[in-house]
Amino acid sequence: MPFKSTELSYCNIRLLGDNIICCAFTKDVHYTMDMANEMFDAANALLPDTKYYLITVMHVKLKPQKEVFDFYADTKREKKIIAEAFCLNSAALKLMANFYFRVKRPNIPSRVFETEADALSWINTLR
Amino acid sequence: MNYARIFLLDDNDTTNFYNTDVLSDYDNHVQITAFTNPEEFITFFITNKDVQTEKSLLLLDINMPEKKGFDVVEELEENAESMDELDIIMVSSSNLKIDFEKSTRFPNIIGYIEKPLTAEKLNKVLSGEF
Repeated sequence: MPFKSTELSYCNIRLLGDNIICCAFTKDVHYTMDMANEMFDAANALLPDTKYYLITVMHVKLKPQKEVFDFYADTKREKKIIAEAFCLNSAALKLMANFYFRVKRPNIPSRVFETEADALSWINTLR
Repeated sequence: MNYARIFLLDDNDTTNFYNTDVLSDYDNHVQITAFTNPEEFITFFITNKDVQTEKSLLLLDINMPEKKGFDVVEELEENAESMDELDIIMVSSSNLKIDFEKSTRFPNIIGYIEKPLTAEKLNKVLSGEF
């Protein structure tokens, strides 16, 4: 049976396994709180009764609203997300990730990788 | 600002004087300490365990004659007992892509500011407005 997926106008969200979700941005966007909420809701809809591991692929140009960093560190996400991997390939986004980890200090175990394969390997060590 | 202390490390006294003024206007409660000599700052930081446990911000000049800013970060990483409470913003007079990319290799570096430092630029970095 094929795994489920959802297509948003700027992001593809798909199940990679029984409790792994991958959100991949598909175009350059000004990343707003509305988008962050929409993505979170769409991911939760794929696994409504299960906590999951999340891989977010940001291989595009993103300019996040500053409130998005607070949203990512919010305790509401902890109720659904076990661990989170960010796949980043731009210096700007990697510096933002440093800021997020050090200043917002998320409680969800999180790491940065270049590729989805590396992120998946890390998640498999946690399962 | 959620920092108990701010350290300035720039070989130029005038720049430190100017940046202290900007920071004092930005937050008049924070303790600001300026250094012009990288070795002096490194020794101060690694030998003061109390300082390492306080939430601190280091504004670090990239191009200093005695030691490059990135070399300072490497030495701190190697020798300090803890870097957990130290956030670093790299400050440079040039906006070189290579420096910006190098900043991402060090987890303590949370931002990059092109001189001159202004309250607006600092606020943007510290609020996550990239």
